This record gives sequence, structure tokens and C-alpha cells, in this order.
Amino acid sequence: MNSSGFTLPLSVVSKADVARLVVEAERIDNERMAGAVREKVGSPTQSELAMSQQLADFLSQNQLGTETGLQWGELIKQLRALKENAPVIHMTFAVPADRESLQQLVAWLRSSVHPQAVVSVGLQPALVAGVSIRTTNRVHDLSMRSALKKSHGLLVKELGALRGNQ
Amino acid sequence: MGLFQGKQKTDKQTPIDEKSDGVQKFFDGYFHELRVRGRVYFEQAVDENVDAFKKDLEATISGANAELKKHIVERLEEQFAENHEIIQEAQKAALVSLTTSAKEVADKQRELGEKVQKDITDQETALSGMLEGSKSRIAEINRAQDEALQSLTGSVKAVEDLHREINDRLQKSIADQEAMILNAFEENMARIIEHYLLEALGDQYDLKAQLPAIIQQMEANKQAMADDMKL
Repeated sequence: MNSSGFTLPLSVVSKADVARLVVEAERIDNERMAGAVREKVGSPTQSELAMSQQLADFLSQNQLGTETGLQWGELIKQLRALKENAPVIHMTFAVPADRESLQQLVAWLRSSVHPQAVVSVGLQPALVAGVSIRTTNRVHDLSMRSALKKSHGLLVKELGALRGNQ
Repeated sequence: MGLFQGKQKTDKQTPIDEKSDGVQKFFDGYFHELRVRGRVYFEQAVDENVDAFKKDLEATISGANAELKKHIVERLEEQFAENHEIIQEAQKAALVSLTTSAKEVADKQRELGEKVQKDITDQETALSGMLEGSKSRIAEINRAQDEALQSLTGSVKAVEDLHREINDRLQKSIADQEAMILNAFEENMARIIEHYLLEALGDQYDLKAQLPAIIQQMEANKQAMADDMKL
């Protein structure tokens, strides 16, 4: 089990989602230990462990069955390492981002840029449309504001041509 | 009046006196006669003496007068002589003084004359100098006037040139200003159009509608993003 070999499901989009996986894994591990203690002393135990869809997807996508002797301690450790090392891509939109669209974008990022990429979402209406992406060392402004700014010279030129025609 | 008329008479008459009254009377007559005679004689002697005395007195007075006159004349002559000497001395002193004063006056006059002469010479020198200075100044003024005239003529030409140059610059500046205003107008118009587009398109599309375009642009920048993530 190695954190760099994990595949993140589309339901895990941001670094906060990964952090929630860590917290949930710790909670489940604690509950399992408590259940084992209760079993020893003959107390009634909880039959099934409740977990979120994100964790379930993560375990499923990485083929980590809960009943097959999963080492929860090791999983927690690797998840913590994943949380620390997963590359974060900051995406700033002109409008609020819905979950579905984010998942599509994350899917493209993981297939095209990095398989464990997570995103940090921002909102800036001045961008008008499009997205501004900030990776580790660069900013890719793919917004309409940037496009208009790049086309400013062309617009001035065309206005000048229009005046020349008049 | 007799010589013994004033003799005191005794109040008491003795018998002897009475006896001797005749004698007395005799003597009285005698004496009276003597007195008369004496008086006459005395008067005569007195008159004689008076005359003599008068003569003597007159002679004395005359002599005294003569002496006095002589003395007075002598004194006067002495005085006159003394006064004469004093006057002579005074005259001498006055003459000396006058001579000295005349000499001093003459010296003073000569000195003043020399001074006046010197002043006149100085004045002439100064006036000559001033005249020369005035001449040179007038020459300088004339020269300066000529130069000013030339400069003025040059300035008129320079002003004309400057005016022409300013006119050219003004024309050029107007043309530049016009071009600048037009450029600014175009620039501002471009900004207005951009602003209008931003306002018009701002809320028109949600993320789902933008997603294909975003992914298309991300595809165009995929390699750069991937390279940056590997660093």
C-alpha cells in the first residue's frame, strides 16, 4: 500500500475531501477497535460500519475491501501522506461551480495532468467567463477578460479602420 | 575902637580907684588919643602894609602865576612830550602792525590767488577730463545705439523666424493633438465596448455552459500544466 499508487474517485475533488477521508478512516478505525474490545467483554457490537460515499468509492476504486483484513492504520497513514502530497490546482471561476462540473473538470485533470490532482475552487466575477488556473509555478488565465485584453489592440485597430472608412 | 577895648573891666571900685579916677581919666584920654593915633597910625600902617601886602601879594600872585604857568607849561610840555612819545610809539606800533597786517594780507592774498589759480587749473583739468569722458561716453552711446539698432533689426528677423517656427510647431501640435485625441477616443471606445461586453456577458452563462469551452482551452494548455506539475 502506497499513497502514490492510490486512485482518487471523482467524488473526491478537493484537498478538504481528502482530509475528510483521513478523519473518517480514523473514526472507523477507532470504532473497530472499540467493537473488538466490546466483543471480548461480551457486549453487543455494531454489526456494520457506517461510511461515506467518498470513502466507499475510494476503497472500491482502489480495491480495498473492508472485510479482507484491511490495515486501517496503514491506510490512515497513507491517506495522510496523500493529503500532504496530492498536487493542488487552484481554479477560479466567474460563476459558482457546481459539483458535477467540478467532477468533470477533475476527471479531465486526473486523466491529462496528474492522476491524484485535487482542486481548490475560487470565485471572481470579473473574469466574466472561463477559468483562471494556477498550478505550482504558473497561472493559465483562460477567462474572457483575458481574451478581451489580448484582443484590445485588434479592437482599436478595427475602430481606427472604421474611422478611416468614414 | 581901641586896642584895649576888649579888656575886661573890674566891677568893684576901690577908694584908691576913686582917687585915681582923674588920673585914670587922664590916662584914658591919653590913651584914647593914643588909641586914636595908634588907630590912625595902625590904619595907616595897615593901609600901607595892605598896599605893600597887596603889591607884594599881587607880585607874589603874579610870580606864582608865572611860576604856576611856567610849571604848568613845563608839565604840559613834559606831558606833551610824553604823549608825543607814546603817540609816536603807538604810531610806530600801529605802523608795524599795519605793515605786518599788510604783509599778512598780501601773503594771504597771494596764497588765495595761488589757491584760486590752482583751483582754476584743477577745475580746468577736471572739466577737460569730464569733457573727454563725455565725448567717449557719447561715442560709446552712439556705438551702443548702432549695435542696438543692428540687434533690433536682427531681433525683428529672429522674431519673424520664431513666429514662423511657432506657427509650424502649432500646426504640427494641432495635428498631433488631433491624432492623440482620436487615438484616445479609439482607446476609450475600445474600453467602452469591452466594458459593455463584460457587463452583457457576465451572468449569461453558468459553469456547465462554459465547461466545453473551458476544457477545450485546458486541452490547449495541457502540456504546459502537466510539465509544471512535474517540476
